[in-house]
Amino acid sequence: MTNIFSKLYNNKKEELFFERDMSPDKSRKLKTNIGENLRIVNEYLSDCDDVITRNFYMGQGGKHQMSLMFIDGMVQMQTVQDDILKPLMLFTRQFPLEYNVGEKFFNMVKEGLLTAGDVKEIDNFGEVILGILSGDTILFIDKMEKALIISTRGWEKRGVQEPSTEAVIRGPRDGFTETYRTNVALVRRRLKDPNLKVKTIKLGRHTRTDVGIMYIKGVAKPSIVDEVLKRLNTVDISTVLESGYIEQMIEGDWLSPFPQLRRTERPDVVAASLIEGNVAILCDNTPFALIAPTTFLSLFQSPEDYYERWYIVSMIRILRFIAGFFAFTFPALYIAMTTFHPGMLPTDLVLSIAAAREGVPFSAVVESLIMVIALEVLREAGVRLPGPIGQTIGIVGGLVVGEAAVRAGIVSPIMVIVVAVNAISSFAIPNYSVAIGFRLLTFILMALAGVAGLYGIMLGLLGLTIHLVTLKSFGAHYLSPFVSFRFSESKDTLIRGPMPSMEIRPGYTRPQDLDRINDRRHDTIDKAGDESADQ
Amino acid sequence: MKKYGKILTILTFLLVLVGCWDMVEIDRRLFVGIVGIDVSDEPNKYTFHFSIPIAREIMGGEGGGGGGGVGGESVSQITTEAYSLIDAARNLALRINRDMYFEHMRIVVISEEVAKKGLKDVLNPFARQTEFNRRSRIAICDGKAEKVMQVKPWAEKLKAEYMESLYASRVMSGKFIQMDLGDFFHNLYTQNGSTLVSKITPNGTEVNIGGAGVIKNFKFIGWLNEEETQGINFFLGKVRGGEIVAEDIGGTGTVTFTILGEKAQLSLKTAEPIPEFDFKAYVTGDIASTSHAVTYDHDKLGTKYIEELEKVISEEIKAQILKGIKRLQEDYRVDLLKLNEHLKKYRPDLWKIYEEDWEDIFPQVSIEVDVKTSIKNVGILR
Repeated sequence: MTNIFSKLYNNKKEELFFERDMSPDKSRKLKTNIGENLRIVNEYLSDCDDVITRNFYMGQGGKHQMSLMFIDGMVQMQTVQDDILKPLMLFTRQFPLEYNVGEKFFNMVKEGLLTAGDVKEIDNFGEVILGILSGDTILFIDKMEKALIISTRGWEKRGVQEPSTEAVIRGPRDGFTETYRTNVALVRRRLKDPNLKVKTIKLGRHTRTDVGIMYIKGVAKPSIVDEVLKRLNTVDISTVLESGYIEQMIEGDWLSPFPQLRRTERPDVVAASLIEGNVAILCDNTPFALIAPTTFLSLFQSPEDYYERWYIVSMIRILRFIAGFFAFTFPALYIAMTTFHPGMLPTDLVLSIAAAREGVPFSAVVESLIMVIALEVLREAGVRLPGPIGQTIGIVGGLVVGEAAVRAGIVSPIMVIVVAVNAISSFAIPNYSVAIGFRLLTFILMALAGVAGLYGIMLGLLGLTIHLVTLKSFGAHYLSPFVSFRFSESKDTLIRGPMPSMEIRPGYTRPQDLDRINDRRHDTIDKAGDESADQ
Repeated sequence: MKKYGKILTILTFLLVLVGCWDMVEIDRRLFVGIVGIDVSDEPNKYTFHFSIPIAREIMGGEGGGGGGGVGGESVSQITTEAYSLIDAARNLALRINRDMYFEHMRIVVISEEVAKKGLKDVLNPFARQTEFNRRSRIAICDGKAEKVMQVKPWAEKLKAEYMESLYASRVMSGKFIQMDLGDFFHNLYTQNGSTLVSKITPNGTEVNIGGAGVIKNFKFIGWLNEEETQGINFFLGKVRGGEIVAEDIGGTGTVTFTILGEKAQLSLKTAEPIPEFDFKAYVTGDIASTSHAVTYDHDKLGTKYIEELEKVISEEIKAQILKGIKRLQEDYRVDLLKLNEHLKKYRPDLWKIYEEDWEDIFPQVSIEVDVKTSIKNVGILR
């Protein structure tokens, strides 16, 4: 299917300045005449009022003509003034400039005068334009077929804040921001390992978004790294505004309701995944990083699972799986139990459901559909509205409308409970994408239950299992470690074993280095400490 | 793409076919709690009674549109005359707009008269059809089944629940027959139509489930009283609770013994000419009360006293067992002690010889009964 998409794009390829690999522009070299260079750049950047060109002269009699180009708002004006303009215009007045126009002068400017941190030589228009658009400053010098690119990137940005979709009680509070470099730094700070590699490519013909993949050399399996790179390189898309664009372009089965890449806002999750041999994809302009390969189980995990003690975590995990089950089966079970198999319910419950349904004008299927759809609408309305109004919607929708609907006899009170349990269960799943996927499955299972009762639900669950078993994420089984089961990995599945017992890394990423804990030092330290404390 | 087309087609069918199979809304069903069967005036016909709880009334008239009448009956009874249960259900379909549903059936009550005529045909649908609750109880009623249906329990709203929970009581488990429909059919069809069946006696606002009915060759032939029932339950090793009251040592009054558990052991002693069996029962339990005053004096309730007490209680249990055996051997001449099963299992060679005339041999079989009681606990204060 990706072929079809790429064909579509190829057919209506627009006349763009930037080609994918930038080759035509790189081949267009800078001219000797500064006026000519400025004219060509201005041709490309015509009608761009935010581009600022600053012409100035240097040396006695203004024998050196120079030009600065940058985009207002994307550069740090402080750096431009203090580290570029001041040294060139002010400091050079205090001593005579011996050099004439030429190579020596160019080198002196580059190595002796500019006090900015990152200065590089460039000789073609492609890099010039990209540099300007990325927030760098370009210094043109007359009579030179080269220019200097000075890194002055700096724009208004959000600070590091607590991630709003993955809050934890115990754990670091910093989350990714919209700035790629900041995000990389947040991960790097946690992994001071020279083997942590970052490779940056640019994706999106219009957006030229920085997309980086991070992995730990010697842990991550090279073939997975290559696969991720390969898939990223095949992405030919005009826009990358969020990592979701990339996720949907590189995932293997885009018909599946389950995400095949895990998205996270938390640098600690990325760091932990990297150590387990995963590859992380970071994308500029979004706080959401992607982790590949992903397993079904990892979508039910929260970083807190590893920070809290294992008893508590194991219990919470089991609760999550129960909630996950109810998140897509509960209305279907209600339909099946009440309309096909009331013999499976306790008599008292049957009578109370029957009494509650007395006078309800709709069948159980229609009733459930109405309620589940109403709840979806409510959820959607609540998400879009600003905080305080969102709460109001929750109260009005949940309590007032629900209560009124029951009073009016449109739905039965039991149905309200069923839908509420269903919704709350789905919100107990840590990953929002999965939760939404589950809510979608609810509808399919409800239809199956309406047709064939429990038999239909079992068919649906069988189909789901078949799908999950065959699903793969970047070569890893989606259901691992249950598919190709190994007992040693079962410690971190439905439960989480005690930390000292988790001696090896999970195997689904086929890490090159399996050891997580090299010896059971924990035990010996603990016992020795206890004994010395006793004495 | 073909694959997804198929999936889409199936999904479309799903939407169109919702509710096409045997789907019945829960509020369109009638949950039959008790089925009662009486004889009818017409030959070959029976009178069927169905006790059906009215959900709206049971739940206090809440929910749905408008409350129900306050003084309304919470359980209604429907009666029809028919040749069989299925026939009865068909008849009722003309009168009742809702579906009869039998998976919440709690008890089948058969009147003595029906049972005397024979159970083969009348119980056939219960064994044959899947929609009947196999965990339901079955009882033969002393008198008309209708009387049981009309009992108004004062503590419970639902008659069926009331009767069901009577059977669930462990405390008195020796004095009635603990058996559900599934077990009943199993016994009936594996033992040539002979089994014990629970007895139910209506009494105004209550029913009494003590005692048992004896069924021989699919026909009811007589009752066992509570003591005899307990004796046979002891013989079958089924007693898990209940009390034994015996005369206290020294004739000062009675002693009450609470049964905690029982182990029964049956073995063949002599095979020919008439088989002789050896029966041993080990009963454990507590002393609930004695006629002696509670005292701190250890001698009063010492080891010797307990040993004597154990003997007295053993004798009492033994007497009950013998009474039960005697009744079955002499009055009813039907082997409900599962001696035939024992022979079949452990001495199939002998069973081949006896099988033909077992009905005549069984009354002559001698069984030596030995009961050992051990008192585990005598209470906090001696």
